[in-house]
Amino acid sequence: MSLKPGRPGHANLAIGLLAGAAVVFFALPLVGLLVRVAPAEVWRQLTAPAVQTALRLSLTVSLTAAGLSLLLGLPLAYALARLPFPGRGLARALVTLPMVLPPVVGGTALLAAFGRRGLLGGPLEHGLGVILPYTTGAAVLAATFVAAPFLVITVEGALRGLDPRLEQAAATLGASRLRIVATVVLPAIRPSLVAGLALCWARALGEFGATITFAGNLQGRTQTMPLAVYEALHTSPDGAVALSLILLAVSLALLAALRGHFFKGG
Amino acid sequence: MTRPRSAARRVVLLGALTLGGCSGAPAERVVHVAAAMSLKEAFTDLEAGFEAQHPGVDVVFNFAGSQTLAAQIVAGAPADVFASADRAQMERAAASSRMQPARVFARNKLVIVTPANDPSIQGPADLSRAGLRLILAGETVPVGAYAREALNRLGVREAALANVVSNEENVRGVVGKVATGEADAGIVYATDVTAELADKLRTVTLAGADDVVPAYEIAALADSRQPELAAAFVDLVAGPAGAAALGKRGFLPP
Amino acid sequence: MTAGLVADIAVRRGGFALELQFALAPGATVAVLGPNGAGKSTLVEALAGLVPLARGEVVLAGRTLERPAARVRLSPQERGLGVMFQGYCLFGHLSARDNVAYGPRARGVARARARAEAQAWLERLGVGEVGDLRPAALSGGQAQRVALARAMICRPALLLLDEPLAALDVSARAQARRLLAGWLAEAAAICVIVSHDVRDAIALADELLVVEAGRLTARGTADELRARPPTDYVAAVLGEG
Repeated sequence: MSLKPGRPGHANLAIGLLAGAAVVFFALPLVGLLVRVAPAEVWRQLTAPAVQTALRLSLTVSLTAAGLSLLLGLPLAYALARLPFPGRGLARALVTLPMVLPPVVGGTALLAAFGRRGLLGGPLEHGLGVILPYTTGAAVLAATFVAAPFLVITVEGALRGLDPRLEQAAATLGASRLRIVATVVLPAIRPSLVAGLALCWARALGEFGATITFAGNLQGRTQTMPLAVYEALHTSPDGAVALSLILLAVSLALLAALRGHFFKGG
Repeated sequence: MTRPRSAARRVVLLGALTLGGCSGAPAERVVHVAAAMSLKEAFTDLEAGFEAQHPGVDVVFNFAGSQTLAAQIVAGAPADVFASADRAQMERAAASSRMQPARVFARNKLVIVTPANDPSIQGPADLSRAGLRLILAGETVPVGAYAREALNRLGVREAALANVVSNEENVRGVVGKVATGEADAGIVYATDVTAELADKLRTVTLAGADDVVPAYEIAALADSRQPELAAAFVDLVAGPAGAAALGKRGFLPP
Repeated sequence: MTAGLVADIAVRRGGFALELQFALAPGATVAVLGPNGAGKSTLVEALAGLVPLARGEVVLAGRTLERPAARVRLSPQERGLGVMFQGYCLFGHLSARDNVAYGPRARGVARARARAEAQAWLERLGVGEVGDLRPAALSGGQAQRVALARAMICRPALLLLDEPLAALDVSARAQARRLLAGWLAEAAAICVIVSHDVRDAIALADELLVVEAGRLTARGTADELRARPPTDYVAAVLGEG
């Protein structure tokens, strides 16, 4: 396209119209959710035992997944950013994959690994008597699988942006590697760590595809909020909207808490 | 003067072309058939014959759990024919006032399926064995509702439901999870043990629950844009050709 | 020479090679002078143990810090040197006082004692009032003194200062140079000061080591080098100084 100076008004108009359409496109579904159901119905749903069960399970599963992501993801991010090891590029690609992989494929892959006829599933069942699929543990694994990359990538980016001489300075002052991580590295990347953890938790909370594939759908055990929304859609559509509103509120609260980290401008 | 304008114009033109592509296709008449998941093979068998009888007509199927299809019809989804695996979901769809009167066109039989290499389940009583991993369809899914009713008749409902590890959204989800060995047993229609899965599954009869007979209902939608074609498809399914196709796939006559 | 520093350094980094030998007497203060990219910062990193030697040795006060041939290589933590990094590298999330107290804390000194000691050092360097401030709130001169206090608090036998004055503006520089010279004279340590500024080098050090393209090309007092400059670079920088 030619971009000669001439009548910028036309280009601006086109951009403005398309941008406006984009905003409407994102806003309309949310408005739809809000006007579809009376607040009383939301409250009634929120206090229904089945919903409370799903909500509690969702919190348990997503928080456990976030904790697990932290436990495994933090050392991984550090290794990816700081320790040169063979296959580092491959490791990074592998960790990033779940972010772009369709979740249902992730669930199928988890079955192939931890299912009863999977790579590890057989030994787990016959050696330890542990059967993972269709358990709350499976829901946690599914959520961790799709959510941990958000933490790893965010933290790794922050670590790469951190001046390595800060760690060197701490080393010359006699601090052990562990002490350096605890007293220099983590405090320096704390904003990114918090943001990564929040993103990770939000993704875990919203996880659907891998969960229903690997963990199934059972109230109180693996039926998290998104699964409950999906099921309600076929039985009580208003209930589905009310449940969606609850998840929407959680997401909005998260964004509000993170504002400033992602929205510097405006 | 024309150059700078062309960028914006091209964007608009592109949009018009893209949108135009959707509605500007040659006028082929389409019959949308929303049908229970278990009917997939039998209905697909009928497609070619119907299209041959009605030149220029394309039958498009939407196979899913009947409760999903009923919800879609209630929500206003475009459809010309609805075939449900039970009366409850047909009635739910009919509550939207979009359905014409329905008729029963086939019946089915419930069976227990287990992985082919697992001989431990011999009858319904084994479904209440502690530690068994049982998969059912959800309670609003027709096959899930029939299964619960059958377990109730057999007096093992409570114990068997305690063994349920997942509620699937359609019958094929149940079959698949048993076939891959992730679950020890499931309750499905006899017709779901398709040729493709036959060597992975073992079938056990649900003796004692013979009076729970799944019945399929079909109806055209009152607001169909192709009322004659919709009626023709319903007639085909409920007529001799339909009976033959369904019988070939293991369904029972109405 | 066992009480001083013996440095026989060979470092390879990509296509760049640093190879030089020198020995320093106890209490000596030398300036390493050279153009950008000559290998001055690499020399500091090699002495501090932040990059490994390919060959050679570093011996400080009779203690071998590194000798690849004997597979000896003490970590930066074990060397106990004082290093002041270019740009200071203060910890942004800690107060000035806690920055200075970091070394003692890492070596096991209790928090309260480490802080008191740190405050004493800040006062000694004339910035006792900034103890509670974060590095971002410090002026260039204050940050420089905090960094110096952090490097000196554990009374290292070898003090490495990489461009200690480069971040200061011209008005503050003359005074800072004078003060720094005084503090270094008081310290019992061997001081190696890296600088690209010949006036800083002459003002701070007794002796100049000139590094060009990874090699030691000249060594001596400013007067000696000015009288008989061995390279064009030496002639040029000392001519203008």
